[in-house]
Amino acid sequence: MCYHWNERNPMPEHDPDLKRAFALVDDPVDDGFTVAVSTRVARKERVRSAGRWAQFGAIMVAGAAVAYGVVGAAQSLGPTLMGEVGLGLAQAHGALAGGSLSAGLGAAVIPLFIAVAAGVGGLAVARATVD
Amino acid sequence: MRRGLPNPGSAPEAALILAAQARDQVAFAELVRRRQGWLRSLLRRMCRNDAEADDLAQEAFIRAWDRLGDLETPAAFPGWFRRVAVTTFLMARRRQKANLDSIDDETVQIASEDSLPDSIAGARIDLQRALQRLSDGERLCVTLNHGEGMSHAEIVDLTGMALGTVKSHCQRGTEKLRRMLTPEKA
Repeated sequence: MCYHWNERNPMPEHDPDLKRAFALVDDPVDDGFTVAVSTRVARKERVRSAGRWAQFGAIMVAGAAVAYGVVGAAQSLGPTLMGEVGLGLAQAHGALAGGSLSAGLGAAVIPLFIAVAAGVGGLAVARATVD
Repeated sequence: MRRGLPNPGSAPEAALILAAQARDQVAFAELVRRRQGWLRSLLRRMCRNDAEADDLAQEAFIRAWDRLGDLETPAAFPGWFRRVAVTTFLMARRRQKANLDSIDDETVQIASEDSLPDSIAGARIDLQRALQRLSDGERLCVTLNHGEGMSHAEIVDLTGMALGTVKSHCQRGTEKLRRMLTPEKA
């Protein structure tokens, strides 16, 4: 038997006989297959769980290292910076009280720089933590 | 103590899917039990041997487990899972560097029927064996077309093959299958 599909006699998209033949085929089912897949899934989840714990541990270690560094830096630089800020503010206050606006602004530049730097640094740390 | 579906064996599929999305392995195992017949049958039609098909079926289930979070609603599961299965098959074929787009010369393929064993040539042979005599591309397209009831456009969307190639594979594959599955008149 020969079939000739052409422009005048196009092949239908769905052949009912073949569709029926496909539907008649038995589906293979056995418990061994289910067990094999379940075992692979369980192993994958164990690996994933171990990876999550390792990641958590790494983050904790990194956090402790950063905190140690920040505390050390604050202990050594903190008093100097606070002194600079206090001195600058006092000078600015004195200049403004003396009626010199430009001298007041000049004296306030260093405390302003320190405050802006602290703010930017804090935002960068916050963003890095969120990421 | 395990928290999850109280009785996965009798739970509706939608509940199993939702539980599996929440990483319930028992619910997923039940899903595997229910869906393995369809999946293994589909892949056995597309592959040349059952062992390879079953390996790919396992791989497809593992991929499904990894990507269940992408599934928006349980109702979309059949189509989504079919896409996962076909993608798994296509990736395996790409690893083997198979060319699904090549069009076989029909006369060569059909002429080779003369060399088939007596139990096959000129007699009614079962679908699975007939499918194995088609090219990779023809087998894939015919299986999706007649077995899964997909249109040519849907096959194009699923496989990324050109429409002309899909039509050609379906036409040639269908003709060959019909000739192999139809008993010759004496």
